[in-house]
Amino acid sequence: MILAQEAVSESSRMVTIVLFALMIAATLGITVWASRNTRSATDFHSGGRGFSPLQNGLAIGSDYMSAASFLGIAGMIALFGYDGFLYSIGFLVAWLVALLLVAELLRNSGRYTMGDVLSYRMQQRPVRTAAAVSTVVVSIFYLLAQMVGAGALIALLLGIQEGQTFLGMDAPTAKIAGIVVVGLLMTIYVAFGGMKGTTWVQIIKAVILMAGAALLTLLTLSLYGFNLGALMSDAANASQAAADGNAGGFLEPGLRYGVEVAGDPLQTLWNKLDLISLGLALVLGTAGLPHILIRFYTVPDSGSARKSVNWGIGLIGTFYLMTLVLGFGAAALVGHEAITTQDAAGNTAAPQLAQVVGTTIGGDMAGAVLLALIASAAFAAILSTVAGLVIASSSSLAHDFYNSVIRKGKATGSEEVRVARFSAIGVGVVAIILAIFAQSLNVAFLVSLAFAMAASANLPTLLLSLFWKRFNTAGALAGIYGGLISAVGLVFFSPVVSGSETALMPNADFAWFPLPNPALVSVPISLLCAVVGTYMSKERDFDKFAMLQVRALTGAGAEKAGSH
Amino acid sequence: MATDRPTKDPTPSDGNGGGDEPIRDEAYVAMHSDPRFIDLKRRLYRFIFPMSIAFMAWYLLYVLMSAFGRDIMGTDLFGNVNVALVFGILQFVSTFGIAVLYTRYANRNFDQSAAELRDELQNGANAQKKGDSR
Repeated sequence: MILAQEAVSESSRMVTIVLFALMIAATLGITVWASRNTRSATDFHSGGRGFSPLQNGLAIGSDYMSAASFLGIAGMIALFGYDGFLYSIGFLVAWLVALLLVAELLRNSGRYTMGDVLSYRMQQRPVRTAAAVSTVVVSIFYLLAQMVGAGALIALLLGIQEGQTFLGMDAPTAKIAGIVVVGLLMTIYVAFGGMKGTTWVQIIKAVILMAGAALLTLLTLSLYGFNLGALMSDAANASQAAADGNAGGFLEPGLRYGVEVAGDPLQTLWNKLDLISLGLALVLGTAGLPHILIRFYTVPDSGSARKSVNWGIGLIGTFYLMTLVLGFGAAALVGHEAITTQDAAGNTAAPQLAQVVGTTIGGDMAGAVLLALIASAAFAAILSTVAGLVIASSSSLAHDFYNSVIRKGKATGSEEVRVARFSAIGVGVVAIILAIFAQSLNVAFLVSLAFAMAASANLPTLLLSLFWKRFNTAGALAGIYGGLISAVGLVFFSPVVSGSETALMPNADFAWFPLPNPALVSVPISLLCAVVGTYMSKERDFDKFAMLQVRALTGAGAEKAGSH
Repeated sequence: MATDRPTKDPTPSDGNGGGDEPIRDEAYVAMHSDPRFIDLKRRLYRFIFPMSIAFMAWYLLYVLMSAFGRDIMGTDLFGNVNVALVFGILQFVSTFGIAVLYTRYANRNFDQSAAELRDELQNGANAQKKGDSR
């Protein structure tokens, strides 16, 4: 059944380019509209707080179902079977942390940023600074992951492979061009459209991506007479695991994470602990990602925040179940060799599946069209997720750092919006430059690092702020910086950076920390820092805690929707 | 604890977000020890904390089994459907289920009481303002 060995056909490339152009035109149109309706700081940072729960639920799904998670997880399932599914489960369960412990309380007690809630009870300037640092660092790492992936993906989606040229560009140039185009677009969306423009881009992307994935899932299943068991056995039998004489292993954990190394029980143990560490980062990271947290401010009240998380959980859960079918489908119908020939990490498994399924059902032209549709959905996924990350950073720079730290809270709304727009441009430029230099970094590594930092630096401090009476400024600073430094530091001394053939610096070896994923150690370190820091300081202000808690639980004094 | 000190910075103003008139800090602090607020808090915590511990334990069990319980996870239940797949799907089911349960719980046991206390605080602020202006 291997049909898609050769380069992407010319007709498909034309359809893809036309759809990409349409998407860019539509999103820029939205940005122009949104920029005319963005005046106040509430408009810019929180989209006027007028989005419905369904709209915000779609945007939440959109922030989350990045190209890295759509293409990455489908690819991981196609190559490693069950372990890709395991990864998606952590991503989904994480939403319960957001739903039960964070979303509503944050919506009631904050205004524009994560820093609003973290600093509420504390001394404003140091905690706001820490919140801005953490927001920008986490978002930039996540942004780098998306943009590095975007460059490679656009080259692949347009079918530009090594040795080929497109509009006079060879593959490496096309990758850089992809990064620059994505970087410019995201900067324009945010600088002009603010949260309104960003949210509408995300809503449209979510609809396109869900529709595209649903269509491909149904067509894939139809080839198997909707017999999931037959699809699974075909996938297992076509997998690399089967070639290695272990077809059953494809449907069990262990091919990608927690790998058992024969004759090396210590390395096996480290691999298994790393799996647990990854699981912890995934489940605790989500509710600490700044671009996810600020989405809760775009709805009118805490009840809507709850409903929008429910929509998000429904959409994301359905999406990952479809990804399971797509991954198995790619394993069975495209095959391991065809996938890894195109992209070693399997990132193009889903588009390749689209071409094969389309061709099988309706001939070459149908294959070309279906490929173009899925490629466009992936392109939309790239654009909307990066826009969400840019607005999280620029809002925090303008609101937490410029207004609260530099101007001591005296900046006017329009001043804050102006600074936020310039921050967006600054973040965009920095991200483009860093992404060009970071092209050799592994995308999955950058994503897992961002999640580990969010889980270590942000979530513990956020929860202690909301629920621990004694918590204070020193504790918050120790928690944020301790979590951030320990997460980055442990990764630096892990096999990801040195001491192995696949490391960033394969020729050096200073890897004394055995786990590539740091969360298992860095989250407890952050908590410990926060608790010790709190007790080392005599500051305690139970009245402020009382105020925060009454506001968070009742919604009294909560920011209201803009009057448009 | 005579050396304790309060946080120095003033809390940022509510802007115009808190209704017609900003609610006084003292009103919030008084509400915090109001029996109705204590009851509200108890009802929220009674659900979210045990449920959070439960789903984290359930998820960690799944991850631990994926790491250390591979023999059990690989056992076929019917056809080529093994324990691992069923356990994974159950994580989806429990996530959807807890979201539904929480929403129902909050609708029945939390939202109305929270709204009553919020209205009282905001009306109190307005009444206070009227009283001042006379």
